[in-house]
Amino acid sequence: KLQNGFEPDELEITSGHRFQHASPLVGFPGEELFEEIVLQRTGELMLMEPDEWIRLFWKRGFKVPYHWMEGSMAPFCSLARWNYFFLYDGSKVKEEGDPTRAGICYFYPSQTLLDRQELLCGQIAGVVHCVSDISGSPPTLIRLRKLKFAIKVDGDYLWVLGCAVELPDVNCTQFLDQLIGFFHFYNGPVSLAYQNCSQEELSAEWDTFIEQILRNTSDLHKIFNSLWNLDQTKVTCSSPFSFHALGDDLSVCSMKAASLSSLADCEHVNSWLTSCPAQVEPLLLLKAALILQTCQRSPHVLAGCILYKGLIVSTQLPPSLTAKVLLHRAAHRDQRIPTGGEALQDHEAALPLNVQIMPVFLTEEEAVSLREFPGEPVTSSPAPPARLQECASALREDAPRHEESTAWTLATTPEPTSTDISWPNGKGENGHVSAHDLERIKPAKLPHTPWDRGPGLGCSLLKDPGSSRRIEDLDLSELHIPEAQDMETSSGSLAFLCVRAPDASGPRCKESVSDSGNPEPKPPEALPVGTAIGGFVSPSALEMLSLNGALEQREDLPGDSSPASIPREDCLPRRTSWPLLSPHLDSRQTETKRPMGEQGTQQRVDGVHESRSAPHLECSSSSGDSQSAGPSADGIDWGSTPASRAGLVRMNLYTHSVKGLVLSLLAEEPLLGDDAAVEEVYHSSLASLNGLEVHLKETLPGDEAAPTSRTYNFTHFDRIQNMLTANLPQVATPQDRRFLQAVSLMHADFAQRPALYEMTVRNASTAVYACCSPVQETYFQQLAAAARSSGFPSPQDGAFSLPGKAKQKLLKHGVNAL
Amino acid sequence: MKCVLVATEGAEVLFYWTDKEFEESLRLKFGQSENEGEELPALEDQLSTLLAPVIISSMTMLEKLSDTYTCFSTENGNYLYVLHLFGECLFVAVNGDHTEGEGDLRRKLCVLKYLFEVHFGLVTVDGQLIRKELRPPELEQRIQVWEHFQSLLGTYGRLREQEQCFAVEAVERLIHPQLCELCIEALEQDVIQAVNCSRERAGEEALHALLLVHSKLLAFYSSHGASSLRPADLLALILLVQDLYPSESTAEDDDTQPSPWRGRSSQNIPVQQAWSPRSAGRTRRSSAGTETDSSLPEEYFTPAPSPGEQSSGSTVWLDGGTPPTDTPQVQMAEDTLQTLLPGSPGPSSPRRIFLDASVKESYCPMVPHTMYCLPLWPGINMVLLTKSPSTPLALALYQLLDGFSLLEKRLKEGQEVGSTLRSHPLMGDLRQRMDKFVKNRGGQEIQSTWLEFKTKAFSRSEPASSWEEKLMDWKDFLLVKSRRNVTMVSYLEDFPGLVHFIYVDRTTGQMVAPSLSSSERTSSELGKGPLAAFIRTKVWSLIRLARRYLQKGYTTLLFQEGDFYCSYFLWFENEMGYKLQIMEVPVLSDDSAPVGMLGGDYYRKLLRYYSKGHPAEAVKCYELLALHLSVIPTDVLVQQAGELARRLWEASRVPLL
Repeated sequence: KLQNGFEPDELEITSGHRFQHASPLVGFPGEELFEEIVLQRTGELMLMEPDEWIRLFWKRGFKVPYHWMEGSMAPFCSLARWNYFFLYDGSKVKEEGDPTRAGICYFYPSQTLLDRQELLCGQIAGVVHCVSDISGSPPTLIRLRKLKFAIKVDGDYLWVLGCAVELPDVNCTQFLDQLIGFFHFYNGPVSLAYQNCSQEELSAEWDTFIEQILRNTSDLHKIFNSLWNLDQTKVTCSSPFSFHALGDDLSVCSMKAASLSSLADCEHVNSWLTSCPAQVEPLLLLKAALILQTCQRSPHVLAGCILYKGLIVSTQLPPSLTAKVLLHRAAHRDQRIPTGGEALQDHEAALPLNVQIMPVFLTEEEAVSLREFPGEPVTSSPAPPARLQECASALREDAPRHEESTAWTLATTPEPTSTDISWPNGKGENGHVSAHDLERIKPAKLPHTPWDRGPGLGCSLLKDPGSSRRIEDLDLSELHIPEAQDMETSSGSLAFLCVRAPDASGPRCKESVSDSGNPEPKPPEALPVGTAIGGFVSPSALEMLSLNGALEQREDLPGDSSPASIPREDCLPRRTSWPLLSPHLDSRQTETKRPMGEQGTQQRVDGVHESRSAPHLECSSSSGDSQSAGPSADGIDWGSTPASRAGLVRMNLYTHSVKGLVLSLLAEEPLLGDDAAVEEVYHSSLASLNGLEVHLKETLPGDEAAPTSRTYNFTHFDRIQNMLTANLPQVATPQDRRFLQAVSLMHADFAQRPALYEMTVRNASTAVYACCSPVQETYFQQLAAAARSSGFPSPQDGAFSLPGKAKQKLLKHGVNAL
Repeated sequence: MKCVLVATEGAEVLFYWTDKEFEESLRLKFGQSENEGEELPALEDQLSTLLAPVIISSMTMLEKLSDTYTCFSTENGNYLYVLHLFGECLFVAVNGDHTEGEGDLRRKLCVLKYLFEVHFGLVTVDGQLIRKELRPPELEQRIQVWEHFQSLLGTYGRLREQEQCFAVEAVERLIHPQLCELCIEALEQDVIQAVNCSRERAGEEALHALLLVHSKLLAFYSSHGASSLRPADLLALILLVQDLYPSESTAEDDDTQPSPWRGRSSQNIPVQQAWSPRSAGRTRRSSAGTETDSSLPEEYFTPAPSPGEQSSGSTVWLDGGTPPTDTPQVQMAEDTLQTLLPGSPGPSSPRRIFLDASVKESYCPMVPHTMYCLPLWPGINMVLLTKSPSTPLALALYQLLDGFSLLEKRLKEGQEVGSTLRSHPLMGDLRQRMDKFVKNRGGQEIQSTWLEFKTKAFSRSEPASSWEEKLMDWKDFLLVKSRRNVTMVSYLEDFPGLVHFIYVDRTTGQMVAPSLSSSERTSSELGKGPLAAFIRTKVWSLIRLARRYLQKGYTTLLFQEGDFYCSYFLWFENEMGYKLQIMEVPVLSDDSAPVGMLGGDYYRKLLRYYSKGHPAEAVKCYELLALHLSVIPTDVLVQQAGELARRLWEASRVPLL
């Protein structure tokens, strides 16, 4: 209450600052009693000078004393909930008279007053239009004083996510991308979804999505945009490391492996296993991994993951996909009629108990990466065409290794022996192998098949088959197929940091290369993979190629490469941040949005780049090429899938829940109609799933014991898998919040400055140390009350001993702070 | 691709500035959409058309949501828009070429606003006042005003990129104790005292005098009666002078400016010199209020230094004030001046500027001063700040207005709703009459004293400038010295691995750093090649990051980037050099006023804030930024930083007089 009779709780001052609350307090020099006014933005208030107060208030006729508020500094506001999320269809509001509300497809929170909804939609849409007009491209971020909005324009549709202003810009944008990704995954392109489903239905689905996401996302996860649900697995820190016990030669270090030095030793670093419950035995995780592998041998099935009570037990999927699959429960609707999925109803009756199959939509990158996946087929086919056999034999020589690599699951693979058993030998005779083969061949036979294209889904990416074929005509031997083989497997295992000794596979693969050069009517690689990327290499691969000069080779060919690659690039939506081929390179790139060239400037990783990325790139391109080296018609079909504007590819999501355990598999679309295949998947996994479920239930502790007194906080972020390891408690203390604040700042800087390696920041209350490599970020804070220092540079200052302490303390968590 | 726009709530353009690329993009945009034959709308109209939706929308949001836009960015930060609302005016900065970050743009806006205030007083609080100043109805006049600020913005941009002192926003002193002493003596006796003793000064009183070599401060003297000059104001003065007489390197892309001579400079040492706030002499204005309390012109806000007389003023000024008329450089400057259109404010004509002051222990923001800039030789300028006899009016007016608004409130408060009507017109009437009176009387007074002063203050009868002759001997030395103020060589032996450092005394707003300048004619120790450029980039980037973290409350920062360790320390000391415990520094939002001096004077606020906890002692604040090779272990690095800070502190303690 202000002395002059104004009585607002909040007083709007000319500059737009909001002041709240006032109590009679201070006298201005000499005369009046005035009030203390609390500025919402505390920091500013504390620094405000009398003249500024005077200026602020002068016009209103207030004289305002300034009053320093001591100790009211909020260290770090919780990132809280999202403030707003909405989808707006501008095409519905074209005419002057059209009410803004007509364009609002969805608005969260739904209880927002309609006026406010209209205000936000209308104003933001207007600003987006205006900025696009001036800049030639729409804004991706609109910031206000207390809110920030991530913006995505998709044709007439406008997606907007409003977050707390404390959340770093980049996270806000990534969240929105993720949300859109979820929607697309389960509903297909927006226009189509809203055409086929009622707005209410979709809104209900949104509500469920958002509720689940919000419930499961902690501040820390927001800062890193790490995989959802990890916070449920409080124990993350100890689990992955238990795998070290698996064997010396199995460098399965999910966290640790990220360090480059250890990478060099790693045959296969597979760490899809995200966060598994602490006490889970390694054996159990291997089981899960094996289940996934087994399923993969079934027709159509590409890859999958296993969840237990919402935690990831094992996954073969890239983070973006894992995140989407994690939301399955929320997405599932009874009687759901997804676009083009009319067939679903018919089949549902036929599905085994607890099994659901729903159509889903993958981005092209995701689809490519899944199909690129060598999976079993390559090696398992009993009577493969000549080339395949050769290839397989070549592979077989490496069998143990490759095999391991295909067994991405958490623990990577166990001993070669076990895999040997399950694999080349036994496999050939297996019934489902042939089925599998059939499936692989299918595309060729049914060029137009699987995709019964819904409206809007039809357009083919590859407009010119010829051009794509020409690329394929490349002299593959120039592309160092050897590593390609190697790469293929590793890339199949997604973010696999596979650094192979070039020796072993080199010569052998060379043979296979020359083989693949032969014009074969039915190339063994007529995997979905090859066709999917047949004509065009994935964009990241292209970029990397150009980096390595490999692209030049292509360009030497008369006018071939560009037609294929360009439309591709154009059609592509923003690349997901999931590193496809060369994980760290790619992730760097997408995160920092810097030209690739700059990556080379990171001196400390240069060497690594050389050794890793180069082979990767080449092989990726070659794998694409070689696979579609044969008749390309089929390749186009597969590759072109529904390359609608949204660039989405339809697939099936098979889920089988056994109590708390859920097996989710992504499969090519024919799965839905292929009862035999479904049966096969079902039966091949049922017993093991039951076993696994029991095992998990027995071994998993009920409640996590509250962590004993911590003496430090740490957070370890795996940039490749988007996984977090941390020891922060559920309820953050002030010191924890200070840690979070520092982490969010430094994380943003690491993303923007590729050469930034190590950082220590300190304020009066705390000091936080961070270091970063292309594959990981580590943050460390000591909780012991630091002796107050002056801030004057002094070697005795505890802040500068943090690096050593971090290295020492984190070792026991298996974290190698570089 | 840069653009700055200041607009009213109604999207009326009050000021704009664009670079060539932006102008070109506008031309394309409007050229395409318009018919061939039609003439393109004026640039300001194009801008207004384009940005009006954003401006209107931000006002709508403010009204409806109590929140408003602060920043837009497009994919990959290709385009960045920063919006800042000052009073009723929206300031917008756009960058489309990745050369400026959000912090840079916001800083630019805040500096622009500060420059408006320096020129016009407290106008930024009121939409009408600022409109009156920035958008005079007469087109020609408007163009003049806009050109003036466009030029200032350009100068500021160049200085910020090239001069360390503008990068960190602190004054850099030319370190040469003997010379400094000589100059201070001269400023005191031959300038301040001479002027103030002159019977022809028309009531004007010289307060401060300073000598600048390029953008470095050589000597500074304040009269006993003067209140202290804020470092931020001093830096702003340097900016104004650099705009009038650009140094060579900063003027490279600006051929239209006179004197092509100035080298530029970049480093300084904080020396405790004549710099001091003369707190003793603040008793002066005690009687001023009585005779003037009724005459408070609106001109306070619109000081209108009658343009017609300015050119004549400058002529007189040159005749009388420029010492060695035989030197060709001066001749040139004079020629340039004479080519200016009559009526346009010549570069060296006196300017009314508004600076903060404390009068009789009471704070008075924006007290009008008159600034005279006298180019001695190219690259060397003398600046004289005076207050006119009517200055006390400012204070009285300030207080009166305060009283008025209070009275107004009282009246409103004391009466029921029905009677507001009655009280309001009454008040309005009172105020109006007051204003009229003030306008007539005060305006005349100001004008006459103004004229008098200009014609007489620096007439030929001024005491001959013997000191200027002395200074003449030093001229060449000074010009060279300004480019090699501090050299890194002298530190290499004791601090192996140290590549560069900047040490700032935030209490006095002064900095010391080895020279990094490299221009066409001069080169730093690092030469002119890529290495020098690289180090510069590193240093600028360190400054940016350090500010970013300070804004978020971190006072120590150490990071390794590429082959370098970069470190930043901020600490407080008492007068004796005893290190005080650090305390929690406020965490500011991204859209808060930038960390610096020119746009909001962060450090002054910080000091004030810190001092609350140390009422008994004078608190000083220091910053050190250092760049080391990354092979240096961190403990050695920190050790060195401490050692370096101590040494620089010692150096700054050496008394000069």
